[in-house]
Amino acid sequence: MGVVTRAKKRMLDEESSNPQLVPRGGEDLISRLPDDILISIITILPGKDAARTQMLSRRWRLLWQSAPLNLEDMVDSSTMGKGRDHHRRRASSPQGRVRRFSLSWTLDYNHFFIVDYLLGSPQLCKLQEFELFYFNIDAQNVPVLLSVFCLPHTLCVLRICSTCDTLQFPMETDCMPNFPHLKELTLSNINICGWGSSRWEERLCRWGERRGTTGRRERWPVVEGGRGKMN
Amino acid sequence: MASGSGAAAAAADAEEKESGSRMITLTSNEGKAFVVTEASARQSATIRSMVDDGGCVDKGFPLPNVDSKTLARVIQYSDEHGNKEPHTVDERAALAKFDRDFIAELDADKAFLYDVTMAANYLHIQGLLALTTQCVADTIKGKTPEEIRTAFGIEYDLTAQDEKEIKEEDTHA
Repeated sequence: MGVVTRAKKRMLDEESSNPQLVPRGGEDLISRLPDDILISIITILPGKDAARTQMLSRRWRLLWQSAPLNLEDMVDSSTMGKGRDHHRRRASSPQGRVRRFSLSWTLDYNHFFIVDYLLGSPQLCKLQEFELFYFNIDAQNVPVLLSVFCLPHTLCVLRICSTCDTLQFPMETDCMPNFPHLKELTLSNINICGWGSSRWEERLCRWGERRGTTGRRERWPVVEGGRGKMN
Repeated sequence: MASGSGAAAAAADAEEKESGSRMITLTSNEGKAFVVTEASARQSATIRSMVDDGGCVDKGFPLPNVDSKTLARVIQYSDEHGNKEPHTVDERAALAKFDRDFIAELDADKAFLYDVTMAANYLHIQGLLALTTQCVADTIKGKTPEEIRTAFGIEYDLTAQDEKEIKEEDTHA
């Protein structure tokens, strides 16, 4: 937070030397905007930019503390070395403030505990949208992480996308998901085998019914590129 | 469709063309009346709900929080989005271009941008509010706190205690 890398600094210097981009000082006009508008502005900013707003002034710090946040994180070999603290810091925000969390994960079995740890964070206790992108999978039939299905029941949007190999959807597990508010479910390159007998099917169909689709054979949720048996 | 009277005249023309659509009068806090199509006025969720509740369509709607200059600009947006529904790819592209030009013009006059933002908030015009708040967010993006403060003229009033807390949160969340 607030750390400016050398490359970034250079870019900012260049921006400052461009007369069209030089900010004009003067009267504080933006503070005329009511809190709810300023909070919505903080919410649409990317995580780092949103976090920086707390350093503007006391009012902005209070606003930042109450704004729902959209976070992005990445788990791969470069972040592995930094351990949990790195991710902890990136997700640093008071409890339950994260509205949307987008996680890019270059799959490596050693990273499971980091991802589990992130998804179990109390900061996500009011999460509404979750996206998980898997990259470069070597192993076959890697299961979708169970902690995904333990996400809070406030979840409205769940997207799990694998860019390479097909992931295995867990069938019978102890932790059945409970997402009563789910409006959008996208599974890309996910293999759902044993379709037709699992509790999952029942659960997915029930979600489907809420969306107005009927009948078990209709393809909801959106399962793209999955090689699963759908009947 | 630039000025208030222009928008009103355009709206009056539109009324002649489609006699089926009702016209609605919006009055700014300076008492200036703007006549717009119902479709245009319905861009505002606030007015939409008043119209649907069988409100005083004939008497018009006084808007005590919006000045004439701001209202004219808001109507310019509502006319464009309310009076024609884009069907073709070209029409959608034209509307997207309208939005880009509209916000570029506002971005050049920050005080006016905030006035329009507040009016969009007050009238609940979701599309316009999203457009203006995104514009402010884009100004903040990629800047250091100092640069943001300069850009918006925000006075630095954090106490040493605040600074200490921020630093602590930053190092061990």
